[in-house]
Amino acid sequence: MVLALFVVCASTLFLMRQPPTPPQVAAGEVPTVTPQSSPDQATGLHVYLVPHPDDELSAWTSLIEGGDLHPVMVVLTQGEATDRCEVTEYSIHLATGLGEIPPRPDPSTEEATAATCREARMSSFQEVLTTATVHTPAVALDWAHSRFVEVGGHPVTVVPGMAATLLLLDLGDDTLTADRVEEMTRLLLESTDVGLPDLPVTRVTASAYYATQHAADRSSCSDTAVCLPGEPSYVFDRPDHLAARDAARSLAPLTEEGSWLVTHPDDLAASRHLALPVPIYQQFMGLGPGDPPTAQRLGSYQQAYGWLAFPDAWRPGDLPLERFQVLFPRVQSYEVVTP
Amino acid sequence: MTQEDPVRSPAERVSTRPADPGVGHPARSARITSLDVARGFFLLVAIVCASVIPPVPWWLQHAPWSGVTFVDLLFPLFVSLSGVGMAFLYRRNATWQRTARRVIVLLLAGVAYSAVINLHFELSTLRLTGVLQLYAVLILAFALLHQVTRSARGWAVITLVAAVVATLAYLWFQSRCVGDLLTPRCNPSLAIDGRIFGAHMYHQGLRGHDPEGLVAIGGAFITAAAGTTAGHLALDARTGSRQAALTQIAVWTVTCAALGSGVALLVEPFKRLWTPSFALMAGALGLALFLAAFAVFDVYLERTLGQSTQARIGWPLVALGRNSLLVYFGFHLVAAFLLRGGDEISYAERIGDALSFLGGERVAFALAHLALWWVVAALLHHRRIYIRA
Repeated sequence: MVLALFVVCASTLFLMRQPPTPPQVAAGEVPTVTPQSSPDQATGLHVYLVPHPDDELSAWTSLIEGGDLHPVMVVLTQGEATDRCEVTEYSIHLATGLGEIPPRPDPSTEEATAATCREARMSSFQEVLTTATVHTPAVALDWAHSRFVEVGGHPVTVVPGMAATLLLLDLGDDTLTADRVEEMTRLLLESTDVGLPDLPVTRVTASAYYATQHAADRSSCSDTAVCLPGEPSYVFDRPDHLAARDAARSLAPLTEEGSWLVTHPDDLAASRHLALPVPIYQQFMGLGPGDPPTAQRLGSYQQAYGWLAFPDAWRPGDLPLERFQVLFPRVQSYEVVTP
Repeated sequence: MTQEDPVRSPAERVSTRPADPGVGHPARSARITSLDVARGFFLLVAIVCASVIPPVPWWLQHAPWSGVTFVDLLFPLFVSLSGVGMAFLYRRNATWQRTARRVIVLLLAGVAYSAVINLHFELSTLRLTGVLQLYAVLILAFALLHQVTRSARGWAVITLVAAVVATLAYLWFQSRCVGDLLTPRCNPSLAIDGRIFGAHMYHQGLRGHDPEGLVAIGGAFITAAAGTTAGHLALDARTGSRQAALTQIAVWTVTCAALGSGVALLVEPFKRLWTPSFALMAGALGLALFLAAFAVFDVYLERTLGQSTQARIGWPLVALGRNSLLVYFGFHLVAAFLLRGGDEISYAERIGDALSFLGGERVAFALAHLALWWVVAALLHHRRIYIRA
């Protein structure tokens, strides 16, 4: 009997062992970007492609790293295809009791239309971007002086800023194509109505995380600082993201230093890995103590985009891992396409 | 609710045959008390764990996905001891009417219990799964399978076959997932429970699994079947040596622990899906508790101090154990009410504060809650009232 109790104690200790969760990325192994104040004189344009208004965080390290550049943030769609504008989905996912902020206008009312959904998503986007100016002053924008122009037959909202420009397009949620994105980006850069500073294009960034199941399955992890053997990357293969990445790839010849395409860390093409400083990441993705679904929403993404989050709250983490459903990791990996 | 003659209680039904001094066994009680003692001890721990005023330490919170914390072991312990109890219940023919009534009552009460404990009453997303429903399905399955076999050997085979089949099924399923990993986006519960229950599952399906869905019930079946095997081994002691039964239960416990550890190398053990490795190892823990109680109460104390002294020593735990279903679900409801109720200061904090001379607010509330249920159970036991489905 004593032997039996001993064996059970041993098996229970084995059962309660630390699960094989990935460790935090070793501190210092991945360079951490350092926020800078906006330059008096930018040296070039940084075209920053965002497929949907909630994808902007995916490449924030590129935004900070290019601190001497004038960001031209191009939001390609307005995210109206989300199912979260449906009454049931909206009510299930919005957790105001945990600190999530309801978008304005309410996209789930009976009178709500696709236009209401667009407006709701843009209000959340504005909330996140405004909060981000605390740590990334370059994205401070003058929303009161927004104006509309027409470029290539498409209405474009231009939001000016001291050190950045925001361009809001509506190329169709879930219907983006690389050709269309590339063409519109070229037209925007050439348009005098948009009023961009007369600077060369230094970098194009696709803030569009993309990983297919096939890619994750055949991943070949060699750099244990940014990927972990046996821990596949988060699978996210939305076509809009692929379109933004392919467009950025095609635009590389326009640039001085190339295009940065956000990817998963064990992508063989990933050549650059940058980490956000922990305080900045927390300001975006912070959660209170406890289980994520019931944790207090502290970060701006958790609060403003909480109604869009999946599976419940946005899962924070150093790496975009399938097991932990981390779509917006602290360490961001890029495939850099040279001009 | 039933008010029973002690002779009719499950534990008593195990034996009414007097010991045969001629075969060398000392005169023994007709009663096996170890199951009630083990359940009582388990309830002591469970009540205290459920009565912690926040902040709750990590080991008293369920693991978010993979991994097992202390609190993840409590319900499986209850299930494995219930498995022992089902051997006692179904060793003889139990009426189908009684089984059907228990299943229906548990299913209905389970839906109500889930709604109350989660404060979720929206019919379109009302949760249909839950711990009582899990228990109901197990009772039905065990009643049916007891028509096939009522022997320890038969139930050992059932346990092992179920574990092997479940392991193969998991291996097949996880081979379809990215990196062979079970995740909230790729797991059999999402595929099966999600398809059957949809928004009526755990957290309206948002968490990609149901810890009490059909897949988890499969795991709980293995855990309970391990307990049933041990129960039949204990029942066999009626006609044989209790010492021999003790050895057999110990061997069975080691078998489950070892097999579970082996399966853990193939399928990650965790509670959220009640994987077969978890089912066997958590079941082994329940068996160990039963084994210890059996050794102390039904073998050692009975042999050295006699039946009446053994009964007196065991009485407080037996009182809790005999009403385990009522106490287990009752204390969860009361704890939820006291810990969540109240305005800024919960009822639990107020009670703890008023009794803080007992060793601080948190200790005081846990002790007070434990005392409440112990008194209730003792009064019911004293009057031989046992609440069952």
